[in-house]
Amino acid sequence: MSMTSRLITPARISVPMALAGFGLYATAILGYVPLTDLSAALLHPDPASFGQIYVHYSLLPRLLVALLAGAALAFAGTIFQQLLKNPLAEPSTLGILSGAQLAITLLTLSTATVSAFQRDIAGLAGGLLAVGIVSSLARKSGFSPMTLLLCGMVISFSAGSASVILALFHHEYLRGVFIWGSGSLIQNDYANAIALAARLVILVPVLLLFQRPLTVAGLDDANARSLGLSLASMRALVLFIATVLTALVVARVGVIAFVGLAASHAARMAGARTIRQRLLWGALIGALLLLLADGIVLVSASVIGEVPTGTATAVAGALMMLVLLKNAPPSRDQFMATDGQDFSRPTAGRLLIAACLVILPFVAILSLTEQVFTHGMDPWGLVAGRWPRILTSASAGAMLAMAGAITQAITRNPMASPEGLGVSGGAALGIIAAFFVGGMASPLTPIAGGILGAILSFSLVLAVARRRDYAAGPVLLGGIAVGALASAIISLIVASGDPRASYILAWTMGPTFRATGIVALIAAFFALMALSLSPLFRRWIDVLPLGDGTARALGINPGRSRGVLLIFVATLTGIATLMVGPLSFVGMMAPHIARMAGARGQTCIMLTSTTIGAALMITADWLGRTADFPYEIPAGVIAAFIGGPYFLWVIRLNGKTTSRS
Amino acid sequence: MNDVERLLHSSMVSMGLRPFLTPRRLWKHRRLADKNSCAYRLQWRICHLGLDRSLKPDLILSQAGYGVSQAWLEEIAPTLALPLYSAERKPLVAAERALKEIAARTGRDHAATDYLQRSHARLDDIAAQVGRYDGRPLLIIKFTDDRLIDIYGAGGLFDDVLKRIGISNAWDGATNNWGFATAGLDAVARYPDARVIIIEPGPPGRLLQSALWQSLPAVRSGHVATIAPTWVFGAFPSAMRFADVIRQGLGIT
Repeated sequence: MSMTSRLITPARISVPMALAGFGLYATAILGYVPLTDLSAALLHPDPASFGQIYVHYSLLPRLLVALLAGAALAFAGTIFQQLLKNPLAEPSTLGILSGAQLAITLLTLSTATVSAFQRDIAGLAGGLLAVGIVSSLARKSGFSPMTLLLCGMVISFSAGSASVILALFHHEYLRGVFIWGSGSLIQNDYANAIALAARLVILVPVLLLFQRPLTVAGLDDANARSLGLSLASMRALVLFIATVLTALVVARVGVIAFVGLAASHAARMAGARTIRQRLLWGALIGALLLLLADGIVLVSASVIGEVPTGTATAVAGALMMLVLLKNAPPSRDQFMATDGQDFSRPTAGRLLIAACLVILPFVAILSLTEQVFTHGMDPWGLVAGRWPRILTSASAGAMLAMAGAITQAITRNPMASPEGLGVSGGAALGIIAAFFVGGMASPLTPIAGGILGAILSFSLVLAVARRRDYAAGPVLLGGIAVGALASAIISLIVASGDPRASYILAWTMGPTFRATGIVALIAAFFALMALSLSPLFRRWIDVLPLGDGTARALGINPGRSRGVLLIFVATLTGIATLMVGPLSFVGMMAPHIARMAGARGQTCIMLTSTTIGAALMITADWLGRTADFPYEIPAGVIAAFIGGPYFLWVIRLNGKTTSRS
Repeated sequence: MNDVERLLHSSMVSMGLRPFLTPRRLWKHRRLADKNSCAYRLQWRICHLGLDRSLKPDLILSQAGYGVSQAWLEEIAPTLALPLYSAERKPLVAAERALKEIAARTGRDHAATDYLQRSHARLDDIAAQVGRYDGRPLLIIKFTDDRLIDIYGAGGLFDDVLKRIGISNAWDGATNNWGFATAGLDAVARYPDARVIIIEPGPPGRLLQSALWQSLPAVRSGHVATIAPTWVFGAFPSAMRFADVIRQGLGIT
């Protein structure tokens, strides 16, 4: 179909967006100057009139910054998608934004005043490092979409949790960074607009030189190779330049997620076909999209207060991602097969479980009685004070690990983590909502909020994935979208300067130190329940990894059994999240450690990893208690800190084995 | 120290009590603990349960409605939960009440009454001197970065102090739980008759030179003053400090 005969064309969707965006801006501008003074305000404002000066030196540059930043992010997003052959690749899903944010946070903490130039350099370094790690890991699996997104997610989450730790301890000094990070587009002069324009003028033409090779990059590797291109070097170069462009924009305007994703998809859906059309129309639509978002934020500021534009786009973008997932055609993701199909050594498996069962009480007793910082205390007093948190940690670790083993089995993806199912992000959102609605008086309010949030968000993910038989891809991507939503809201609260922010952060990060005896007993009850229920799922867990065809041949309905298992996993994860926070990676790590220790067969892996998970969490809880004595670092944060790098190491290892085979 | 630690700490020092230090210093000085000192604990970052028990504090102070439940703390030692920033939205009154309650529980009624008497006398003094002030309402702002400002209004400690000494606060917009609002510079321009009080550290020099700043009505008419850093989320002593620095900032003598 030629572009002119289509009902929807890029031009036809651009015009109403432009009208709406500029219209909103015009409304805002006319709130400051009367129509008669408009041309004066735009061209040569009267220094004695604040309205005219404000329009000229704040609103106009803001409009320019929105257009330029939107164009740049969309342009880079299209390049990432083409280069990585992945419709969901964009600066935020690749970890660039979080990497830049962490680097800038560290910079702010190390120097008293940060110049714009220093921030550019830090943003550049952080962004390049993140993309470097993500792409070097994903290269080993041939830039498989799932590997890429999961790596990006882990980098984002690890960098994010590092930022959260910094926020917990330096909350008062990081307000400026948080405001930057939340993506406020307020301007006080033309400095940012000029800097952005200069960057685009140089980098966009450079990137346009790669149009032809990029077209080829969209083809299969084999085709490209037959055309005589050095794909690897071309990809690396384009990836590098596009990352530089993104990071330099982000350093100026802050974290503005999903504009790149939305704009390039809109361009494609509107009929932009060639890479040139997609790049240019995508950039225009991106510019208009951010203008529109910012216009809405600007006009509604008088009613609902100052909301950073980046938060608005992240919320809208996450919702859009869920809609896209619901309607996107089935993905052609290549999942890595798990290596756990060797049933030949059942005795080794039993020995392993026995060994774990010896180690677990040993770790628990050590943590209960150690006296590193509490010399000469009555040991029974210590045990009495510590047992609830240790039992809570152990139960949460066990539940997460069991959930992780099942998730990895049914998704046939050794990198899947139950935290990525959307349950944890939803629980965090629910806890935050509970704080603002119900206050902090009762410890039950946040727990109730957490449960409600987890149920709601997981239902959302299930609704998205239902039409696709609960296949792994949509479920995990839906989870990523919910996670992005949660982190956008958290960054908004942190940026608001509310003194409760660090408290809320600590709560969402899983405070095992707040566990009471009752909470611990409830947690243990659920963990034991899960353990005793797990034999019921044994056949499904053994058969589902063999593929849907095999499952059907053996009389199992793959869609329904996956759905039931997902609900089981989500329940476990939800309960554990309330205790150790949304991001511990224990569910991902434990099954791997189990496999490395020699566990074979899904059931054996599940049981071994359950004990390993419990031991890991007890250790994390102990580290959190002693690392910054007498302050507590939430155990979930400690586990995430260990878990992130471990996860990346596993991906590297996996990549090697797949490339060898 | 964090927000809440500072807040409770200052209240105690003001009446001659020696708080049993903050959790971090509490660890360092553990062996200096004496029976007469009074422990208070923060809620944000929870101190070690084991350590708490080993110290046998006389009293635990906490912000009511935040952090762990009071029952949990009561297991360790008697606990006094003080509402400071509550739905009542009168932090100055709450701070005075908190001071009295701490005094009552620690047997320092005399010291507290003494301190409050002196403080109120001082506030009365300042209020009397305010008669010589031109009466221009104040817009009290603090820069969060070079673009956004926090503006202090109803429900905050500063607003209560201004009321107490008889100066009106220009900001009549909505404020959050802690009595401030965050906005861009255009919010300052909405109050052309106000005197802008900037709490240090002020904005970067580049902003002060900018056309935008120079065109603010308050800046053009020269109604801008800077005051020394003052703790926003403080208790009674912070209020006293604010009253003093605002008097100096306005040049009332």
